[in-house]
Amino acid sequence: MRCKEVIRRINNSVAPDSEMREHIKSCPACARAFKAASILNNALKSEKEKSIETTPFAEIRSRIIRKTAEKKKESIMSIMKNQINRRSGLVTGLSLAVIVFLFITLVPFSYTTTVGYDLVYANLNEANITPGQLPRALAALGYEDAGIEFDGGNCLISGLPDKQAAREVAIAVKALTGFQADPQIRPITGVVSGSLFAQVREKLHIEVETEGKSDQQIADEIRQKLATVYTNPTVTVTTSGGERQITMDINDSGVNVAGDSTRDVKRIELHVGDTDNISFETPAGVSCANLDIEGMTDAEIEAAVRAKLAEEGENVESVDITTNADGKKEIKIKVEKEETSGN
Amino acid sequence: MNMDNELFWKLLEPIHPKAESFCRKLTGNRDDGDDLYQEAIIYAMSRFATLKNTAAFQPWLFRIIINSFKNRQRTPWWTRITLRPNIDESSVKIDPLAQYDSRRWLNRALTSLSPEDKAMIILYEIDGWPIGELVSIFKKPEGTIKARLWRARRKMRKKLESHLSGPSVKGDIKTDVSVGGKYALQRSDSKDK
Repeated sequence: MRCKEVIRRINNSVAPDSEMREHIKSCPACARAFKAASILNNALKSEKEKSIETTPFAEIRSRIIRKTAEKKKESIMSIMKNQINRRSGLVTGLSLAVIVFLFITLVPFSYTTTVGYDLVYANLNEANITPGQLPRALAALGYEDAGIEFDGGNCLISGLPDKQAAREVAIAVKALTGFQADPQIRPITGVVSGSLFAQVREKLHIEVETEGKSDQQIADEIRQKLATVYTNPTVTVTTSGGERQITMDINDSGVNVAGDSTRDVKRIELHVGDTDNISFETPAGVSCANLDIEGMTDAEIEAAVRAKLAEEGENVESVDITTNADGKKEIKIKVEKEETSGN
Repeated sequence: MNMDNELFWKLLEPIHPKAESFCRKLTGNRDDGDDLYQEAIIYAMSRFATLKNTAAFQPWLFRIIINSFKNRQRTPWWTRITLRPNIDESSVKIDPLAQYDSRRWLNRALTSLSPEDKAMIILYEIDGWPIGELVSIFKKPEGTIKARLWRARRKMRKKLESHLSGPSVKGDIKTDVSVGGKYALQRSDSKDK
């Protein structure tokens, strides 16, 4: 008899015949298996024969009724404790969620962001301004900490907290001095420390309900929201074949998009389905390039713009330069954005 | 609600001894078994209103016991205490040492099984439930139950085998052969009935 057959018989609790006994005597592995089966059979048999005294039914009944009455009186804390013990997986998940939340909101990371704005006036001399007039104006506007520097015919007003402040100061300077040239609003970047949540919040989140609204109404609404951060943004919304295209020209330099050829304009294009809701984010600090294009041809300007934006890591798709009837140049720059999904 | 409770106790009374001893066998000791029984009864009471057919009370209650046992087995490792097989003094009547020994081997073998297989083996092999009742408790076809019982027994045997040392086995064969053979014959007798 072979081992395989012996093991099969052992597994099926077949009574051993003489041939099987002979094999078991000569094969230690089968002997061990047979012994294990015998022990198991004996143990099951002895457990089967054993009589276990049970608790009287009345006792069990009263014990359970008492227990259920006590359970009703359990405090909130003990219920929570029981739940924690019973649902350890859920508690672990919640704890992890809390840890992740705290990590996102509390743990600081260094990142680069716009920390303030400078106003740069070309050809504005100290002589054009009454002494003390500018500091007083800044103080009156609430920007006492702003610095004023005159250097080689240029005027620099630094340390303005946000773009709105820079615009207010620009208007004040224009009114005080009668100096009509627009200043350059220069964002100052710096490395700050903040949580991941703070970093995300620095992006401008725009959400617009589109249900029952025309393209023009949607465009107006987006424009209104963009105007809280950017100057004179232009927004066009077109719908064709169930797809909606949103084109935004965002100018971060504080002047009209088409009014100044030395400023840089960012075009953001979004393609979204015909949904009831549009939601997207734009970077709060759109970089501002400053180019001196005097005497340059259109081709040279385009090359200069591309070179400048490439320096800033932007991927320029197209640069269109047109000259208006009044002789001013209009530069439209289309920048490829990786993350511009609305749906 | 009170009417329901009365009916619950009425249905529980005849199967109470079976259910209580099943809990003790599942957990391997009296105290844990009584805790499990109590926990299962409290849960069953709270869910009694969902039982549509009172004729199915027994398999329903045993299913609750098995599920409660499975939940207990899922407790985290740091709160789990390995309990040694303990002898229920009141039930030991003849040979305490032999009984202790067989219980020890049985507990060792049962550790190789999943909670559900353990319950199946206890109900079938120890409490002598017919396959038909196991079908109503585990809600599995008869063939599946039989196959699982066969596999569970094989697992238990292999577990015990791993605890047996090779050389010392040979000397004991003679006695075991007779015991094993006798039991095997008894099993086939009882199945024929």
